[in-house]
Amino acid sequence: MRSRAAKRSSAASPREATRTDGNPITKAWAQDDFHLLLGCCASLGWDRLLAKLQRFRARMGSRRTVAGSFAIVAFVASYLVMGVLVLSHHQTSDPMRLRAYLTGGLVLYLVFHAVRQSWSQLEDPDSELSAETLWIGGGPIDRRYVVLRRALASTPACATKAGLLCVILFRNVPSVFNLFLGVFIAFLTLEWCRVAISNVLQAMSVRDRKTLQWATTLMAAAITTQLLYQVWVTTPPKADPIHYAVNTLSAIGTLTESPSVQWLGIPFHAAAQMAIGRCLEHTWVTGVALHLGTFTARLMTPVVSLAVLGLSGWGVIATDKWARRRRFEIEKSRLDSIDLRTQIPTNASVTSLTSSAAGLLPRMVQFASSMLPQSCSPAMAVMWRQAVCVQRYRVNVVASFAIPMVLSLSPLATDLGNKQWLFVIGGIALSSLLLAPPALQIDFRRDLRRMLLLRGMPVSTTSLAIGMLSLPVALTTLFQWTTLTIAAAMVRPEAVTLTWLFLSFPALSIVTFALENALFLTFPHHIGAQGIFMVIRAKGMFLWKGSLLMVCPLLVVLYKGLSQAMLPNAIQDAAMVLGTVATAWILAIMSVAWLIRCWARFDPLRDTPAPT
Amino acid sequence: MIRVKHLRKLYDDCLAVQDVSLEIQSGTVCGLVGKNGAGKTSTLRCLAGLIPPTDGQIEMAGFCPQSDPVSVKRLVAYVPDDPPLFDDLTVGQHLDFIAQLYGIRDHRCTAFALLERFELTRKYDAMTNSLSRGMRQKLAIACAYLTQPRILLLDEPLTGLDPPGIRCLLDSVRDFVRQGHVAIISSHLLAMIQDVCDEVCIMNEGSVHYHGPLKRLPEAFGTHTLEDAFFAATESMTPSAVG
Repeated sequence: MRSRAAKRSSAASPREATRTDGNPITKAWAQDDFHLLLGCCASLGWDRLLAKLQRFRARMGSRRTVAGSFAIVAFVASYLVMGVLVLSHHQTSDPMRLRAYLTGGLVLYLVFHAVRQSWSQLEDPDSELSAETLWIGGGPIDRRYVVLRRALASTPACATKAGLLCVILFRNVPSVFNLFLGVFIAFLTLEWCRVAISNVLQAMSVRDRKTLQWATTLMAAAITTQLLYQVWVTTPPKADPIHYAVNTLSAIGTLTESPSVQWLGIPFHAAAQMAIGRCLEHTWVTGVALHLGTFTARLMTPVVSLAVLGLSGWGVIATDKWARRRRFEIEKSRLDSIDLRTQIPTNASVTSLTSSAAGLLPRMVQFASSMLPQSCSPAMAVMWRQAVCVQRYRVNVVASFAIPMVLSLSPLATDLGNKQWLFVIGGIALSSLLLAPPALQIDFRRDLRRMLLLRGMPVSTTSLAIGMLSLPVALTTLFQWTTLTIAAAMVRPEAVTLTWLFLSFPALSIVTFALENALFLTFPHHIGAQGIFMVIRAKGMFLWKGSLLMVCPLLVVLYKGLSQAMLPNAIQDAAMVLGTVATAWILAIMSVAWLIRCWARFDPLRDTPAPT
Repeated sequence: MIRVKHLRKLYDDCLAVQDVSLEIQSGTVCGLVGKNGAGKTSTLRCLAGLIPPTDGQIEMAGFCPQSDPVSVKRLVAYVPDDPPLFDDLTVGQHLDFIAQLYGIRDHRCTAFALLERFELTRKYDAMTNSLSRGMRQKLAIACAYLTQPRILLLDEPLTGLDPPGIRCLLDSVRDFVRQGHVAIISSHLLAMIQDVCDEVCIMNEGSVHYHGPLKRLPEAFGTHTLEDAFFAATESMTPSAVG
């Protein structure tokens, strides 16, 4: 190890010193030494990659994590096989449409990101003293390179996403290499645009932020309205919800092709053009290039897409510089506006402390805690802390559930038939499985950096696990029951069906959050972490949830068929309800038991990953 | 070496540093003491160029952290309380990385000497996340010395260190300033500050209440001990005194 490190160190030794001060160690006093940072980051990246591979190898050898590790490997393998054998055999699309979808899709994602970021609480990445901030940010490196390095951290994730997309799309284009490169550059440009937007948002005054919040929300609302109108006019009245679903996808496609979206997507045009293996069209650059020859014209596409990427990289640096200056100006003007005759707050005031603890939800939890026996107190304390957190971010939480609720109920606007009712149920299940966990990250996932603290609490593993699950499950159940009640008031289904759904859905919430947390404790990661493993992890999570959504209705239908064939008519309904509800709750209890086991076996020192 | 004039730092609605003015000459160890929330860490981070001051001027060995941050960072080493390390590197890799980052040639000799001094040689191949709290502190201090700074800023450096570690660190600080450099140590261990420092800076609620040589404490507070001076400065709200 030593010799290897020594070799690397001497190989990467900096250029000759321009100044020495008589010390045994000589420094390179070069200004803005980009090569220095490049060498450092390359060696740091390499060492980190080796550490990650070692960690992965250790996981493969661990009985606790081997199943999950194999699942990831199996997912990647099956995705590639399925991509090559099945997905790639779909009817090929027109390359120009593909280009429009890629460009428009990225624009829509950027709009969604702008809305989300404008409403979320952004933190200055330098405010927390991490290893990166202390050693690299505090090192003798120009700020521009530090920012660029941070922006480049998304490169592996973009490459992975581009690779996965290539598996599906490679039959539509003449060159896989061009496709990968084009999609990769487009994704990286998108990431850097996102970083630039975040930089700008972080430095906005409260007033400007509010203006932007409403502007972005209006923009998103306009897009959504247009989309809904398109679906409305293309679908006949009282059509099956499946037609609505198909027409919605088609409307999204039409929207991405619309001139306004394509105009907004100009930064992605060259990369998308490269992905489909075509030259840039109708541009003066290509016009000039064509005069010079076809080869030059072909070369223009990657040149322009790389130039756009470079421009977005410059945008990241420029917005960071602007944001730092702006933050300083705002801070200074606030300082100037402080009336020095009044008491200057040097610590959190009593009002701010009490206001964070007050609120309907925390008070409700406190009240529930007082009604329950003393043995429930630890779990209720954990729940109360979550309630305080939810109270603080109540706008985001309410929005996260209100939108799925409207979407789940939307089929009822067309008709009040059985099919629409089924789609409402499907919408609730889909929202509970896919949207609730990211909206309510207030469980173990939030406390990765405080695992030792949690471990040190005088709370049993069972109490802590139950406490962590309680509030997210309660809120998701509230969403499910509210949506069901509204839908039931309109459709008026049979009482048995309604009772069955009211009893089964909470079990689904428990399974969702328990498995989410159990998987998190087995394969922990920091919130907002990026990289190849995170991309694969996200796909894997989507896969198991999708499978669950597909398998559960099939099992219910199978069970219903069996009970109809084997049981007398009088008890068929009761058997159906009791059997499925009991199974759902047994699964819920089993998943909670698994979570408790995972928490009991979690080793904060060994299992906590390094901060990224 | 260090000049600070009317430094102020505002976080949201909290004025962490209200008014700090200091002047520290070469070859000095200055102790920075004060109650929790007095503004010590914010002051040190402003001096290190990690956070921008809201107001005031800072000059570190002739360079301003705002206008010339790279030069300041080359000259200043800052070790925070519970220093964050790259947890996926070994001790040796961490030192290699820091050396490379600061462009230090032939660093291995010095790195091994520092590891030997701080009793970390046996941990050379250990991952940094497997180190104890004190060892992490020692490694961060070793990294700081490896960069050959002219100004050393230590924030609560003794937390987690064992008695030999404390002695070793204090000896290293004395050796460091003997070379004409400057060290600022922020700590609550007043006896240690009195033992090792030439000057002391007592902060309270973001302001400096006393800054000057330890030997002038009797003139300012009528007491020989730093502990008595500390309580006199922070509890009776004695007017600012600069020695």
